[in-house]
Amino acid sequence: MVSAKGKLTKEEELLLQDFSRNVSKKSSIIFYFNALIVSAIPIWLFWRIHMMDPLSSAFIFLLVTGIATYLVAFAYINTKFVLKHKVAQKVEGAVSRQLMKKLDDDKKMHKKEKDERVSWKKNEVAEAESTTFSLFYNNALFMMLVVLGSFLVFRSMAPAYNYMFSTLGAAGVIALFSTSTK
Amino acid sequence: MKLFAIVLAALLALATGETCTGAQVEAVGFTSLDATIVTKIAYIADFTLSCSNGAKDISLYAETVDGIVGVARSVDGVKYQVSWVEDVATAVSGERPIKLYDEQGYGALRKAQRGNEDTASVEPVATINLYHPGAYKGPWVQSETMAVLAAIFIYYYAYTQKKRLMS
Repeated sequence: MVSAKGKLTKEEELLLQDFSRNVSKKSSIIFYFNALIVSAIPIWLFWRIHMMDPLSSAFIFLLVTGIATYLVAFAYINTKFVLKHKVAQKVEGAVSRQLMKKLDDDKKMHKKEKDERVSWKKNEVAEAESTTFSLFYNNALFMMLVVLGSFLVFRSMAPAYNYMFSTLGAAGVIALFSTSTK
Repeated sequence: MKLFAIVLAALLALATGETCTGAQVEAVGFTSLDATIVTKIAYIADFTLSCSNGAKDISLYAETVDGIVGVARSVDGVKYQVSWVEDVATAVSGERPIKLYDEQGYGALRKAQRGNEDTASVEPVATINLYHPGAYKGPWVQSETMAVLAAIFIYYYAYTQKKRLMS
């Protein structure tokens, strides 16, 4: 299907985009913004409960939050990619049934166009669901690891080390887990 | 001669301690209510003593849970204070009777204790009941524990949902 010039057609590019790991600009903003919020939450715990002074520990807070944001966003994107196909398979039947019912009256439409519409709709639903679920799942895992790390595992350490280990550890673990395909 | 008798009586009173009859005690009590950062509970009773025979400046002793202690007296002899501490573990809530003895009562009490006699037969001058409502020892469940449990529960829910999606 490669055209004479060796370039991909627009349709092919769209198809590739649907199945690639690259995320659209909109999703990427959602992911990074959420990752920033979630990575910044532990600051509150260590500022108010563990009494770390926000000004004198500003550097460590910024550094750890920055690294954690990157790792958490990485986890979001990977999890979303894995989930998207599964969600697409699951919603395919329902989406096509619903869409066919609506399009059945339209006699002029070709079967190919109908299939394309189903595929497009399926992709849209899977994209939205996998994005939302990826945020939820990774946030839940990250928060659990931060809480377990700071309250149980590293509790006897100085607050600064406790903060670094629990936050970066949690972010690292969810980034690692997100690379699993199961 | 009359003057001599008065001086003698005064000296006698000073030496043995004046006796107080028909003692009336007005007490204000304090006990520690927050045991989260302390290891001992403090009990303090502040009181004024008025005797029907007008006796003043009396040395008092108090029998508390902690044993017999001297009662602190203000310089003007009007106010008294008795205090002691108990371990948090043993400081249960409830009334703490404080029996007050004057010099004579104290002597009789010590004598009874030495002779292994019943100390209840020695009548105190007055008795104060200090009420301890119990100290706050922190919540039953630590907030960390609640946070950990909630986090685990939410993750468990997320995990089961993911498992369903991936199956």
